Amino acid sequence: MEADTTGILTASRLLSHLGGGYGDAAARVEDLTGDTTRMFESTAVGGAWADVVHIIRDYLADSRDSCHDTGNTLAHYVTSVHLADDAGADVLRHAGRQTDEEAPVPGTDAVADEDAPAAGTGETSEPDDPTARED
Amino acid sequence: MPACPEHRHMDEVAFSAHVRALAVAIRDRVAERTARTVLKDAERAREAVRIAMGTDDVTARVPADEGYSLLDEDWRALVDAYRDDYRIDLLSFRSSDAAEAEAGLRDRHLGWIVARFTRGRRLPQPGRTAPPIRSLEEIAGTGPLIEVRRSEGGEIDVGLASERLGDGMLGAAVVADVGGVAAATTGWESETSTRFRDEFLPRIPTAAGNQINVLRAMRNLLGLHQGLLTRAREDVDRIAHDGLEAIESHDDCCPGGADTFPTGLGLTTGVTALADGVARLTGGGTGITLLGDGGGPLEGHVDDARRLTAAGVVGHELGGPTPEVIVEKIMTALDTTYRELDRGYTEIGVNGLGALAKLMADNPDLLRAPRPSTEEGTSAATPGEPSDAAA
Repeated sequence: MEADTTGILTASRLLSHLGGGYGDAAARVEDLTGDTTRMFESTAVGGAWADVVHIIRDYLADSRDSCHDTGNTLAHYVTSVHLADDAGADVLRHAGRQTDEEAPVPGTDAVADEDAPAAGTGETSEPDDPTARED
Repeated sequence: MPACPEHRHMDEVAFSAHVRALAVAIRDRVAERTARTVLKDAERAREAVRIAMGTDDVTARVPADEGYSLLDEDWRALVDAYRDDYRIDLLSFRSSDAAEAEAGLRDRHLGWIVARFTRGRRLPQPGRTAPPIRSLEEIAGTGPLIEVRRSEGGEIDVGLASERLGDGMLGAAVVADVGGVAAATTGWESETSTRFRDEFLPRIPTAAGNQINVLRAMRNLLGLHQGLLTRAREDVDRIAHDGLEAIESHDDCCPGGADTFPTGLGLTTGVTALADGVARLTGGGTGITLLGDGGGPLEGHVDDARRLTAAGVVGHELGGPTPEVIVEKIMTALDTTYRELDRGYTEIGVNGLGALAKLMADNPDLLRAPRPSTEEGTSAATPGEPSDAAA
């Protein structure tokens, strides 16, 4: 199970990272509207351009949220699996609470992404010590 | 005066001033040449009166109407036209009146020449869309539209091919991170993991591929717009330069000498820029096609855009026997330029961008990364089942 846990948590972190990438893309696309009155002589073309920019920006923002949600879901999956598996594992329960509080993992680079949802919505995080889950 | 290559890089203020200066020069030359033509017509009309009186004696008494009643129908029509259009009495017009006639033509009757060039003064600098094009290339890459590929079994090929997705920021992130997720979860064996890896995860690069295709199509449409503006500016600038030269070379004695004064509209740079824009729009075969979808909704509009380049190089004869004819040809050339530009705006704005917006609105499932759900059928994988721990 430990290999699964580590891999799943790595996957969780990578999906949150991808969410951050989507957030960057959405922000850059938002800037594309720019000064449309100077770019386009035709107001019809300028308006159509702004519409397209906003639609694709919304899809990118939605994808950002989807990646974060998936990453959080994977992290909670690990937490719920181990809580069900080992009701007496205080460390694991503490790790689950830390997940919500955005605690970084010592010895890893799993620091919460800036664009990731705030704590309480399921922040991606790895347990303090993966080996503590072993019985 | 040859057309200037700098016009393409002038900002709107400089180009506006440039075109206006040329238009004013055309107006002033037309006024000057027309006043000279009026004087010549006046002398010919008075000669017609003398002929009608049957005398060459310049001191012979002229009837009270300056001889109008002695003229035939054609000469009367000409005299009437000068009176009605310019308030010039042709039969009493002398060389001393020419300066006043020239000023009247310039200040009251020919201002519309400058006004017709006015739209050219509003044309945006083509380079204004360069920064958004660069930004789109950084986000979605410089490659062509991603082709829809299907396996032998008809399934959409949505593999993480870096050469298809990866030359932009978004595609590179998807390739790296989704590839990493797949690798990290290879040791996870359960029903949930199978669904996650085989059904849920591949939908991410599929959505990303479609998003990238939209962004690349936007890039291509901006490129087409840039080509349109480049061509329009070039055309307006060339019409102004060549029109002025046609007027200045007009010779009252040999009016036919200026007849063959062609100006090639849509010359090399403008047509090349436009063709490049169309080529990029068509990259990928049939215009944008969403992965997972069967159609090419922009295909018809791409063909229309191709026709814009075919109409690119048009020769106009700007010479003519009179300044009036030359001006009429200048205005025809301008109208053609603006008509082609408006047609291009329709192709890009109404047809191209509008179709792209509709394509996105009609296919949300193809453009969104999948989201985990506990509802059956709404997501391919739903981690969160503690019983998997027993697997």
